[in-house]
Amino acid sequence: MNNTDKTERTPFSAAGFPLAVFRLLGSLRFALGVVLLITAACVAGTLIPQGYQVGKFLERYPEAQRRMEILDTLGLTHVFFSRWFVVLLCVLAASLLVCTFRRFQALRGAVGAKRIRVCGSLFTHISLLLVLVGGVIRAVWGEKGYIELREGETIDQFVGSHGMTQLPFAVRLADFTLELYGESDRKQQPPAERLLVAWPEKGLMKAFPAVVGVPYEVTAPGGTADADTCRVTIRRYFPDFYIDTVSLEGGTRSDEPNNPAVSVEVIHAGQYRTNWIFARFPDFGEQAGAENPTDPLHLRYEVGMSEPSVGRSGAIKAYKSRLQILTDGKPVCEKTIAVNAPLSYGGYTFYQSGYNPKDLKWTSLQVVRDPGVIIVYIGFVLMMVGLTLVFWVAPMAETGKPKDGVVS
Amino acid sequence: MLALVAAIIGLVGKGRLFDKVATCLIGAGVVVQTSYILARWVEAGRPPFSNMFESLVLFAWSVAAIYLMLRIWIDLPLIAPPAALMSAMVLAYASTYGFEIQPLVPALQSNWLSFHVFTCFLGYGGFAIAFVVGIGYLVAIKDAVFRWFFWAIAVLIAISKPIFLCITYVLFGLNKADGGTLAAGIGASFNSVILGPGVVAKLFYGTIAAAIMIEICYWIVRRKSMQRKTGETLDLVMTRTVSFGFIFLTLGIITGAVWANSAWGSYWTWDPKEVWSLITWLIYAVFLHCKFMRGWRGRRAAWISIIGFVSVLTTYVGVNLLMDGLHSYGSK
Repeated sequence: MNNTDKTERTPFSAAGFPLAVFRLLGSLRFALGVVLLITAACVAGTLIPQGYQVGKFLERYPEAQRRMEILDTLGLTHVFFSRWFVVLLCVLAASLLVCTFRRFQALRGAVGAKRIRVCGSLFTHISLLLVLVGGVIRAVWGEKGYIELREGETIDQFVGSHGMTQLPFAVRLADFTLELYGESDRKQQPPAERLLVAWPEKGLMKAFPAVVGVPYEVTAPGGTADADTCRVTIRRYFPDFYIDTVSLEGGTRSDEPNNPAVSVEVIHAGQYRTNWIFARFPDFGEQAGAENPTDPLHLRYEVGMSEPSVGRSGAIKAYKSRLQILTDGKPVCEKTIAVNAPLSYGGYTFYQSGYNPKDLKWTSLQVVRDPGVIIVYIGFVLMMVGLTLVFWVAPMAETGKPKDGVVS
Repeated sequence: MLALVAAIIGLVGKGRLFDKVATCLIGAGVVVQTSYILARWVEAGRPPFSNMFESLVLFAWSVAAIYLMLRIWIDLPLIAPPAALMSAMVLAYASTYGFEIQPLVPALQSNWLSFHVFTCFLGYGGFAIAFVVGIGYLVAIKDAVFRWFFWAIAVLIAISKPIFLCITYVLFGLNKADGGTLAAGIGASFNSVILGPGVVAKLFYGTIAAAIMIEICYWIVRRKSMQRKTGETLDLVMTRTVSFGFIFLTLGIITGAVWANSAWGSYWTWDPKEVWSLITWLIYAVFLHCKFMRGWRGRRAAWISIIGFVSVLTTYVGVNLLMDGLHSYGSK
């Protein structure tokens, strides 16, 4: 080897630079570094308000305007759609490509269990590339938009991700239905929620169904004066009560009865008061009102916990749209779609997106065209085949029982 | 809990009787839990995997079931106490949620619900066992850093709210101070961690409890030195459980993506839950690459399995509690 040969092989020479890049991209350390950068970006993307959440965040904290602008300039308010994140993904794809090539080369010399393991590793890396390619195809050639229809209306275009898009056919909303969980879905058992009202002075204790807005009168036996009667009304119900630390107002985190609470209005002898009563903290309300000398009543809110009940009347069970596909004004296809049951026709898929509770003849549909999804699904299948080969088949092939192994 | 007590006695004492009792008790627990899950499935008329309570029960089941599978394959009494403890703690946390059967919202009415949730939790269960094995390894080698780890985390949690207050003040210009001063706000937020009923306070005391338990474990092993074979076995178990968890987490992510595409027209929306499951997947992918291609073993592998499980907890619980997204209906 002479000095000229050495010069030609240095990274800074014309011949050596591509090789150096190739080696860098195929380096495990480099690949893991890129992965860790992507991980850090993902963490940032979940902790910093993204996209439409920025507007909501600024409504609540207008003083953060300037700093959010700085974060926006850095691409941290739209991490997953920013240029630098896309560059990171491209670098990852390049690294995957080189690693895949290397594994393909390693496959030729491998036999037995090692061959299975390398094959599995090859499949796994190819699958990741396929998923990324599918994502690119969706981003570039895919379309997504919304259609809003009233019963009997027909539409043949929508505003998609690339502007107004003309459909090759028309869509008509023939019918919209909203189904609720009714009494037939509910097991026959006593009401699970009740308000217990105790009036120790008068030796009274009564239980009422806990229904919002319905007033109940508690009258001492033989009593006729205002002082002998209390009127109790549940004004508000929060299934998962919490206090907003900023506004100091009560609210509910969710529809699940994790911390059921009711706001109860009590009117007695011309006096009016409101108390929060908590099903899981019955003494809390007592302590809150115990020292008020005008409170004659002790209130307790109970939620039935011993027997599960199926269904709660009034909850949404399903919302469905009966769609017709029309070509030249004639229906060629009809299907009732619901969430998880879309309609696919002519390369477009229509998903049941939303409805208007105040107008039950109206529906909102999401329209999607994604030519890359089949590539992504192939990637998914290949991924599982690859992982199975690496972690199960290869070790089994080595000794006949699961054992740790090394991929060279 | 009975299994936990028996397992600790078995570990500290001589003979194998209590270890066998512990494993039998865990097995009985799995049978009972399986019966409960099936009964709830029949009662509800749909898979019982739709809210926090049901998923926590499934998680506890998967931890115990994977532990049992592991014990069939390999004899390792060391993992019995932490596996029993973890399963018990998860069930205890589940009891803080309402267990009334709720009707499914339209978005969850799909056969994919069973596949997606079940595979995810099998994955989480595998990672949980790898986590406890990692802890067991670090305790067995009397790792000094790990010994103070939970105390450090507890201190971090105690000062987390004040630090968060300062960061939001510096980064976003927000002043959430009570009484108008940042100092008062810091004091109030610190008090809410130590004395409040909120999630952060629960985390704080939970971490303190974990730190105390780790101290007890260190006290138990103080006079014993880990045999090389035990260390290799623990390392092997960690690798296999992470591999198991990784396969099922991958399957869980894939089934979730396919389901999302059929429900919402998009297999990936960068939803916080999806992103954190990807973060978890990437962390364990790094673990497996370092393990198989760089031969990482022992201490380093144990630490990554612990960090990975923190990511699992963030994905499972943290996202539900702290972030909004498409998965919010499964938060409680």
